[in-house]
Amino acid sequence: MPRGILQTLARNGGGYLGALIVLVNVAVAVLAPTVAPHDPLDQDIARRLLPPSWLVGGSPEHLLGTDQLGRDILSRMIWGSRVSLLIGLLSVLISLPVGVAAGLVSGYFRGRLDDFVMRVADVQLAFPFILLAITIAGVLGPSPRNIVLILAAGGWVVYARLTRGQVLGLREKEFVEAARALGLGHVPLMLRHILPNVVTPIIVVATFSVAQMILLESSLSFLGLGVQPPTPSWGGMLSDGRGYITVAWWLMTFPGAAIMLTVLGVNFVGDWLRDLLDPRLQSI
Amino acid sequence: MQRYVARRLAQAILVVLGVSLVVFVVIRLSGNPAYLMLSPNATEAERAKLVRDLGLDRPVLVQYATFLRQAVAGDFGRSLRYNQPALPLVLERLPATLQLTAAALIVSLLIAIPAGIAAALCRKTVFDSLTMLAALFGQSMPVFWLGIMLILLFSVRFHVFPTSGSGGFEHLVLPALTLGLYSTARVTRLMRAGMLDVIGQDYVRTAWAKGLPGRTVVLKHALRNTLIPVVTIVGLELGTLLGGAVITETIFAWPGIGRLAVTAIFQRDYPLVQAVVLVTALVFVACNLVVDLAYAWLDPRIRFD
Repeated sequence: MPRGILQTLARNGGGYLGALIVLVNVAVAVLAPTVAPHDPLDQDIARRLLPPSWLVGGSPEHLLGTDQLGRDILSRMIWGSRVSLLIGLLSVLISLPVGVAAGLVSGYFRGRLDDFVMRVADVQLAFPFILLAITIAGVLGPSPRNIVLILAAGGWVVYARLTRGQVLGLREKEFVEAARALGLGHVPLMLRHILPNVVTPIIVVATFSVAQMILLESSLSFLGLGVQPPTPSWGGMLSDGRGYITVAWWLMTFPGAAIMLTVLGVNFVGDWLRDLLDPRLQSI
Repeated sequence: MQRYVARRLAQAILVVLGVSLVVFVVIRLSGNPAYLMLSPNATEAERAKLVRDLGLDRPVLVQYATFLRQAVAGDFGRSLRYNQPALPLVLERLPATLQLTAAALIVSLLIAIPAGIAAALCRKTVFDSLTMLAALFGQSMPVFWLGIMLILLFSVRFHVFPTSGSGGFEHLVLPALTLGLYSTARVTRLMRAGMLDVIGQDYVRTAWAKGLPGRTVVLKHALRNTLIPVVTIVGLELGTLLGGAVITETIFAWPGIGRLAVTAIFQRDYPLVQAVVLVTALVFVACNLVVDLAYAWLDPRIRFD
């Protein structure tokens, strides 16, 4: 099996590239204190708004230049990757079990509970989530913990609907009926016989969802309702640079490119996982 | 058809009620609005009087019922910041947002429909792979970064379009392009999938088998039936576009309701936030209802589902 995985990875150029991007990203985030050339909070007004090192006026010490307070852009981006990856992963890790549990229970028992859960999901899907997210972030106050909770509150629906759809088909299958006839209780039945059969599509959806969450977090931080300064975050760096758009293009170009590259990498991995695990899921 | 319309209408009302409840509860979490409306050195008696006048001492459910009754009558409360009724403030800004969203939708459909159809017809060729790769890039791009890159290129570097504000057509170009390109990626993927679906149908295979020329098969048999996926996609994209408009309006200082919501949140003007969210919900649900009914009209199978 591991050899099979590696072979499909080699054949799928995008998956290979995506896995590489994600691995490098994670490594950089974990090793931020050692790989960052400068302290991300270190200000030096004398060296403010330095262009990238390859341009006239650039300094070899600051590869991607400095911001309006003379902080090193590259170092801030390296530390910023921690925020993006951590918030993206945590919000998925919270919303996934909640959504899967809701989908399992409502698909298995049907009835009133199912109606209720699906109506709540409909309401949530029927409205642009970002508008609710900024409202809640504004009211509760923007902290990393609140951002994770808000994103998780928006993310569970996808898993719930997906799981429920699968469970509806599975609960009528013979192996489930057989297990029930043998006297297995509801909970062990759901966990041991139904859940393993829905894991594959959930993994694929969860991967795309990490990408989505990273984008949402950066949007919130860009609007000033996400991670607060001086903590470096990619969205926040773009927001800080807005006032200098006519004089210092590098303030916003590089952090934005980092967001895009990361999200692209995760999406590539998601595409690859989908092809590998379940070719029928072309529509996701 | 009547039963279908009735059911969709009931669902639409449910969505609006759901959104209103969530917003109502969230905003009550922010603390007592009476404290925001009074000066810091108001006396305890003044506070108590205001709390009583606003009905804030009554049970939350009663407050929600009052709020709903007033909202139905068109009273969404007063903006704390402007000291005016909130609803007219929102309605004043609504046309700008609708204009931006419509322009973006046109940009998106103009690019995505031909691209998606062409990709589906040239399936498994280099053109198809490149289109899908471009779409994946587009989906991975934060909309605010796209906007900023367009400003850097067309405003700062080449001075073709203004960086922000509103007014003439030239002000609309960059925001519409930003928001439009943001949705183009998704629409192209959906369009390609929809066309692939149609091409795989029996009647298309029959048309090929009859020996009809390729042009006739594509234009007459396949293309006409992609109208249904296009309608579905427009419905799906409205939410994405309205959400994206919040950010796009902020970047380009476009005077729509998205920017109004963001500034109102920073000014803790919660009645205004509440009004924006509810008006958005109403607009969105109304658009979706129209799309769904158009869908049922185009495809009779839906009505009997």
